[in-house]
Amino acid sequence: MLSNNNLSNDLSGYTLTAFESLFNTHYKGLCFIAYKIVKSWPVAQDIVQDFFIKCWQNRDSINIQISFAAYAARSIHNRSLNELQKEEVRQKHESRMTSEFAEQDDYDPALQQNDERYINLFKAIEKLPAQRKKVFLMVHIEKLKYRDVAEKLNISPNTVKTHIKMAYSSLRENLLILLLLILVFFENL
Amino acid sequence: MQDQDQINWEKIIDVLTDQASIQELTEEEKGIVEKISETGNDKDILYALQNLDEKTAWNKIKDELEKPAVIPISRRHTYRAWAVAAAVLLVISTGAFLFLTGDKEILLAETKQSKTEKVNEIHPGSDKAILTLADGSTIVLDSTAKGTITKQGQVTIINLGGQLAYNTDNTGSKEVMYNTITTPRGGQYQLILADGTKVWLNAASSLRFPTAFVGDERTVDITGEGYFEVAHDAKMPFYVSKNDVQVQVLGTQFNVNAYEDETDIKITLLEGSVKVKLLEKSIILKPGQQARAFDPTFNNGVSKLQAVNNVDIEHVVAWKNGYFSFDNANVKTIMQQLSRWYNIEVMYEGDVTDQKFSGKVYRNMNLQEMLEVLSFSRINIKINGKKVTVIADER
Repeated sequence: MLSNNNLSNDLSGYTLTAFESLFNTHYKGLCFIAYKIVKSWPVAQDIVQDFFIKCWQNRDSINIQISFAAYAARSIHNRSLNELQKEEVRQKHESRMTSEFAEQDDYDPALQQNDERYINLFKAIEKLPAQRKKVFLMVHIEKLKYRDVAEKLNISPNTVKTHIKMAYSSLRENLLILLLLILVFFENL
Repeated sequence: MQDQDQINWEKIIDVLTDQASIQELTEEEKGIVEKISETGNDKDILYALQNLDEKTAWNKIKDELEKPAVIPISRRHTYRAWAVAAAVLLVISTGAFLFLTGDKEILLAETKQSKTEKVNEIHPGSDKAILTLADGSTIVLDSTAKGTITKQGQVTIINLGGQLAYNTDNTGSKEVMYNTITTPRGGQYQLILADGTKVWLNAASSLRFPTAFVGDERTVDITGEGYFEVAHDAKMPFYVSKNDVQVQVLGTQFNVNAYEDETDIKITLLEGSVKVKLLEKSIILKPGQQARAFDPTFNNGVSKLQAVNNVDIEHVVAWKNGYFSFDNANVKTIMQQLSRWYNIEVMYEGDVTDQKFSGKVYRNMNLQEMLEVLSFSRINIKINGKKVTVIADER
């Protein structure tokens, strides 16, 4: 429900600007999915960037029946496997070469669902308003105490608390992050 | 997709925080706990958030994307399958692009074409306005008609395309005449006044101003929304008015939002200093502050003037920089701004959700693209000509 919109997924109507928006919201989530397979952040980023380039260049001939997140997750999964093949690393994945737009592949529904959850997680963080996102990252990534965040941003500690509370509620639909927050939150106290 | 409603997320959290035993979970829930606890997952998520930057990545691929795409019809191998002479003849005689390969591609072209015709494109706003001169005559402004518009006494008005500039010939006496520039819904325009002050006017707005500034003050009147960069002149303070609300400036940058269908008038200061006056009340703003003025005429006879601190400037002036910026805005707020820019009428069916949206969206795209980028979930939007109906999801 989160990743679906009611309008078509016809990319051919997109301007470069609209496409940039799509890129920005999906980038981190897709890199994460690629990373889980190729285990290298630079390689993961290259895979995702190549995917978007191909998407744009072929936007008139691609016909996406599912949500973009689902489509992208599947493509990135396949491309990442291909990348592994190229580097000749033995994995427990099947050795069949899969084309990027293949209907049949070894991408089982559970894996797909997982990947989409991660994509939505990153999308939700991306959508946070600037200040709230800053506070959220300072608290959960840089592991700063509320007081230090307040000092750095020249706002009151109460405002920091409010930002965190509001970030939680925007993100509550993405329960993975909620669980993540619980784990990290307890470290931070 | 599996039904997420059957998963007890609260229970899972209890297990992860050692407040419940994992035995109390269903098989699926246990699987989720394992997935989360799997070494590395959360660290990888944090790494991605911290170290990946989509903006840098976009800049890297942008050049690649801007190269013209290879058009399918020019695939060499398909031409080789046909007599070249026949192909050329067909293209020239019909004057249209016909895919000369198998039926499949012709069908593609037809589908695309009919689809475009069916979709009623709603274009974004553009540079257009109407200028009303002192004598009442009007001139339509748009980007196409560039050049000198008219000379009124010592003042020459030049249309620079999206921007109107007033030049005063400094010799001789200056007559003071008032002009009004009005933007329609779906319009915007920029103005440079005789003193060098720059004004950006948003959609559905109007500014009444003198063609030259004489005397000891400069005064303009506004309805709608305008962003001002006032030229410094200590001897002649600059005033922006809307009915009883008056903004006095000395040389500064600020935004005035005075739409009549909003409850209050908002003046946001970016740089410099302004004094906002409503009847007998007044406040002096510092950069980053916003004054909210409730004019008694529209507020049941009650006048109110208050200052708001720590305003997010980016949201307020986003329009002048070519985009919309929303911070936890609900659907109605967003649709109201879209309706002015796209010149559409918005109606609501059912109780539209309180879903909030935050983010930046460039406003130079068609309405359909805009709605896709905003990707409202649980909301259906029906477009019929210029009428847009927002339908609440029955769930």
